[in-house]
Amino acid sequence: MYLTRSEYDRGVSTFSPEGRLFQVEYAIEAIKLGSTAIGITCPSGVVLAVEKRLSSKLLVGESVEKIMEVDSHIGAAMSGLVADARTLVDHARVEAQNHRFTYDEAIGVEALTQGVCDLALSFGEGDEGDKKKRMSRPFGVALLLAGWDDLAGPQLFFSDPSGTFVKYKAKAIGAGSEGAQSNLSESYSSTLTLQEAEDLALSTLKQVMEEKINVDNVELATVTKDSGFKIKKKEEVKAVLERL
Amino acid sequence: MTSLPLPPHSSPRPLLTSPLPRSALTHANGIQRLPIHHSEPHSMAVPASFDQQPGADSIDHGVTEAPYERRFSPYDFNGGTTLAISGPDFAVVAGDTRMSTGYEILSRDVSKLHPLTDHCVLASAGCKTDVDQLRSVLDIRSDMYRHNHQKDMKVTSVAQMLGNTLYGRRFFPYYSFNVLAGVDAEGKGAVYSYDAIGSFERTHFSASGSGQSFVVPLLDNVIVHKNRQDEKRELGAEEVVEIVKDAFVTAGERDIYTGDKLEIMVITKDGIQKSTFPLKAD
Amino acid sequence: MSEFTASETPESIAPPPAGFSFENVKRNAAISASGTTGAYTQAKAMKTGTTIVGTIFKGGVVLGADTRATGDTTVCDKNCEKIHYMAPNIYCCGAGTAADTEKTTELIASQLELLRMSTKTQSRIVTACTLLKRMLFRYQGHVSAALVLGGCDINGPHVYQIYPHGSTGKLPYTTMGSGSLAAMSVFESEWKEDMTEDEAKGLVERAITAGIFNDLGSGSNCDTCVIRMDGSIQMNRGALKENPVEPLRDAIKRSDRFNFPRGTTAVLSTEFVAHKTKGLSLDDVDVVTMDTN
Repeated sequence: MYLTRSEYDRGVSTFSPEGRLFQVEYAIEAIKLGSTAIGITCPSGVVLAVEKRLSSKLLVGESVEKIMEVDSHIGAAMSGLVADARTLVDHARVEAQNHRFTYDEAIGVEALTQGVCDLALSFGEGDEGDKKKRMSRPFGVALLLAGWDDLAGPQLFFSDPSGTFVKYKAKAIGAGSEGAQSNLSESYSSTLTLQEAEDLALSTLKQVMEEKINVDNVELATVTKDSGFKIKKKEEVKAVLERL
Repeated sequence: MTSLPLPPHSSPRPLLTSPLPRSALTHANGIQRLPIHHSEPHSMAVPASFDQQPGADSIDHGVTEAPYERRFSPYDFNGGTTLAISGPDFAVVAGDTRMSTGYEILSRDVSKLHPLTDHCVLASAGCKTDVDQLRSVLDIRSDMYRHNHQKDMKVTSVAQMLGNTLYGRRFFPYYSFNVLAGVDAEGKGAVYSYDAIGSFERTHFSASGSGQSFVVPLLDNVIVHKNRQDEKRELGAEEVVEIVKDAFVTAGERDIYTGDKLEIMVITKDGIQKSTFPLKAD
Repeated sequence: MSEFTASETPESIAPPPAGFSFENVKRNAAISASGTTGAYTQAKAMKTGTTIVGTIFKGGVVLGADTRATGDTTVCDKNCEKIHYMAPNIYCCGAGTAADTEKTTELIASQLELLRMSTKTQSRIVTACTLLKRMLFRYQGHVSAALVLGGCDINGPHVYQIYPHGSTGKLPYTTMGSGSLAAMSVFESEWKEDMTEDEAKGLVERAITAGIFNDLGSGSNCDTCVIRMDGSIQMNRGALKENPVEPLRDAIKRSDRFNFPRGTTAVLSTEFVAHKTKGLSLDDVDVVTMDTN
């Protein structure tokens, strides 16, 4: 990638003469190594789907958790360093609960995403001698934040290690993201039903996964107005897979 | 460096005289204790005064034999009454415009009503400087909310935020008695009543401040229909406004801190409608 | 009182002995010192946070007072009398604890009456002043009466001010009470010597009005009293009524929720019991129509 290594890829707070922050760009590269995650919005809700790479037959599939609940109306799918994502999701959960405590209502999806990105952006902060522990590097993970709120209905946000976030109708991240994104672009329609969105998410995953798709190596979740965030049970995933 | 010799402890203190009896001065400081919502009948107040002196209640006329310490009180009571009544699709909130301290009128035209959003008004009596500070804190927080969440705060959110803001000063409270009025997300009238340190509840109506004891029993009967066997009837905003005027004229007759002018705001889903009504100036 | 009647009169209904009773002073002090709150707090007296004034003019004295009486921050009486009778030629305005001003002036008024009976001469203002200050000094300020004493006697028109501790001052014009500063500001800017009666009355009314509107302890109406050198008195109750509540009430469209039809209040039970007191009642006697021819 960057064949001419220079002094400028060391510190997270040093720009290269070309105006780049190499550590951030490297962190974004780390996501391309991650398992594929897909998010699709439709008028009645948002669908999240991720691939789980089960590297060993002895690995317990249920222990790999790549879609997490942030609040009853918001969920997050991740790709990249899953450990980093845990820190971000923990932060997001605190933001969501804090909002409930302060304002007696559910937090907006965009405001929550902004809160996550504020943390993602805080790498390299703090002066020398600052007692507070600071992050020495950017997070090596990207999130798909799916949620429903009064303000804008179903929403899907993509946040990356640079602390940027963008709203998507449908988005794929991770190793298979290129193929998956082009498939989404072709097949997406703004009038999808929730079931059609679930089908599109898993069929797209099926195409880009190296292993054969089954109920153990994918995770599927939805966010709707009435039921909020729900992770699908194996039987429900099975039903979707049977439709493909 | 040598320290200055301290005056002997027994040195006579200067006697401070005042044109008012001492009992009037104590009273001039208003309520010496903050009334706090309590679930138990005893100790209905927490001490909030910084200048309690021995024998403050005894007749003194500014001359006393017992030496006592003069202390600065960070609180003043600037008087006034506020009131809010909720209806099916409106809320009426009102307050007099007199601001006073002790037996003095500081101003005859200072508003006790403060719109926080297009559908939410905060009415506060108490110590004016604390009320001003509280208002600006809430203004900043609601502006920040608007920026962060791209919408106005709902009344329910303002209510919660105000409760937290007050409780944040649990041990050095804002000396303010608040009533929050507005229309909620469903368009229904909403009234919240508070104590000084953040205990709050949604109520049908609420009155606070120096004239509350004159207004509350009246509205219990006329608005909530307590102790009445005759038929209850839903009241429209216009009729409620007239009842509010009546209540304030009565409070102004008997409470020395209530008077000069009445300010009324009617809040509906369409916004806030303001009006005024004269009160007695004595 | 003779020994016959004394034995038949129970102590509880016997007239109280003259002077103050101090029997509960120590008990009350102990209760106060114990710091117990709630049921044992001291009773609060009604105060007249007040504006009272007095001035002399060419042919006499004008006294003035507001008519508000307060208890704590509540108005107890919206039209009370604060100009008290002392003698046919002397009146006295009172500020402070209502009971103290009323009883002190009453007491001294009766002493003056007795004095007039024995001396067969008109009471002098200085006499009234001396009697008042002696009484107030004796009680060391515990009798909370701040007074403006005025009248006309053989030596001319006089106005005295008397403080609760017994100090006095003889002045051409004076103000007392919580509204004294507001009233004095009017006097200091407008008072002049040898005013006519109308000028003096107008000045007093303006001074009291300043107190009514600018002092929260004072309010409602303005009473004045003119005492002339010719011995005539003009007491003006409600000389100025600048605070009517009626226009405000009239401007309100009164809700019918303030009308209470018969049956509004729940009747829990009904029982009639004939009233019967100890001793004689109307049931025990035959009522005969009085012969009025």
